Amino acid sequence: MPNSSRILIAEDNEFLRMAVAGALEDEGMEVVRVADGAKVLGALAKHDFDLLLLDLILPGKNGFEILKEMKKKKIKVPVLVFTNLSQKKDREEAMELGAREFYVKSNLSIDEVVRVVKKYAKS
Amino acid sequence: MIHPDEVAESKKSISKLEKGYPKVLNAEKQFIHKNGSIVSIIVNAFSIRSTTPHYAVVHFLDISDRKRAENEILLKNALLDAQKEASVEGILAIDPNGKMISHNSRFAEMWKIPEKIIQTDDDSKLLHFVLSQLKKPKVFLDLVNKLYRDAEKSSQDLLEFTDGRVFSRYTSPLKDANGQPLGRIWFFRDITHEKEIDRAKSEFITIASHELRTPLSGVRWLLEAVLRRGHLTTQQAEFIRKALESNGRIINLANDLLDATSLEAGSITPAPIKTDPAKLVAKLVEEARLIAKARNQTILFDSPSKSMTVSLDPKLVSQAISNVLVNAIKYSGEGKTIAVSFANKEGKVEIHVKDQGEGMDKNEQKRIFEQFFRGKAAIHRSIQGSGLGLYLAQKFLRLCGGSIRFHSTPGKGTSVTISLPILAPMKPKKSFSKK
Repeated sequence: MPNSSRILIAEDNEFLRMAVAGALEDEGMEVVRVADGAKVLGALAKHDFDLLLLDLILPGKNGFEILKEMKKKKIKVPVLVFTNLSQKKDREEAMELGAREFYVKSNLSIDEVVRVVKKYAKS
Repeated sequence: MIHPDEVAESKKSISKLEKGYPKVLNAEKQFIHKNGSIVSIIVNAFSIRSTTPHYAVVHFLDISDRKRAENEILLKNALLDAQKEASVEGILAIDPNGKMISHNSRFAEMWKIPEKIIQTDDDSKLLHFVLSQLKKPKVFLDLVNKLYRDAEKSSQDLLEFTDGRVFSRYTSPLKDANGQPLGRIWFFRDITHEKEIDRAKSEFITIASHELRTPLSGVRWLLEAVLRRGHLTTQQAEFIRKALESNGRIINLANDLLDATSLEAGSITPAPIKTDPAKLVAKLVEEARLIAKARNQTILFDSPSKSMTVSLDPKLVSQAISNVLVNAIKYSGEGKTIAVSFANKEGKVEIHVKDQGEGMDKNEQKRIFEQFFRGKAAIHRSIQGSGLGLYLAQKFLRLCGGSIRFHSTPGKGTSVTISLPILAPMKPKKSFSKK
């Protein structure tokens, strides 16, 4: 059964963006892609999203800054951080700024990404 | 006999005595003992004029021992001063009232204290000068006051300066030979350069993590996305799976290298939580069985009958155990059996992983935990690996208060034992998962 969730992907790497967006669209989800961190908050203001998949290293504005602003503006969209930063301090900072989960991209398969997105988009 | 240097002066004194001067001499003189050593004597000589003939009284007091002791103290003080001045640390001694007793020149140099402030001997000016350089002067002062209230306490902390410098500060009580408090001694070491190196290492790890892993993740996810969509010929699907395997190996190598770098930089700190190790191992065994299946290997898991609680960082310990399991799979041939079991030994939980691989000789076993070490079997049989698996396993386990032992018999197999300290036993429960 198609999933009618709307997902915002903030990811500057084209391959990763294509792969995740394609896999989620195959599941029937609506996906909006943003490659520039400076455009994330604008995108969040335009549409209602069920979930934000957020990279931390982005041009324009990095993921930590985006999380800070979301917290300040009380934007309630749940955030799953997908990054290749793996130090404990990065995880702690992201979780403290309100991320629901913190995933290291290189440790996940695309199937696992789809699975966690479905889980959090539903809830 | 009198020392030759004293003869002239002594003759004058004797002449005065003969003439009846009342008080002729009260001085320290050097004499030469018959054994050749120099002896220090206080000579006190006066004449008694009220009698006829005149008498002279000369009193000799041997102070050689006292002189020797004084010279030893002077020498020790000179050595201490020299050591103090040669120290790369700034040293400051303060009396129980907080007044400066002594410091070395490195202290004044590190804190850039002008000579005029040292010479005023005004401790409030010195304190004000010191506080003006710090990012957190109140924190500094609060700790100083706290330590002056607790004369027995030692302490170590870091001081951050407004100009970017960082000092390590250590203090301990100063006591005399009888244990009486004399005050407090402070040691300061400039660690700005070391902190800069740590920051650079951490930045390298951050950048390398991201720049290495991002393209690798991109390739992986795109290939997986293609496989997911299907509509491929058998051969196309096979090619993509092989490409994924190869990509996976590079990802693992990148992860191992970054972990090793993080360990060296000291930027991995364990986050222990109370964990049942049997449940942790059971999950890892299930994951390992997926890999072993492709090689027709069997992994037996004998779980413990009583549950245990261990304080461990599940991520680090899982990585260690996983590395051991993967090694057992890689170095065992097709169709072989790997046995995983538990033992409770002297307050520690032991996890044993025993394989039926070709084993390793004693010389190679000595090197098994070295970085990048790969045994002959790995090279001759082209077994993929970075040579970091067991190195990292040992480091991770040590961070968690555990240890790892390796024992192998050529031709028969290898046994690896992981040991973790137990917190407290819980109630016994039924064992689970036997294959």
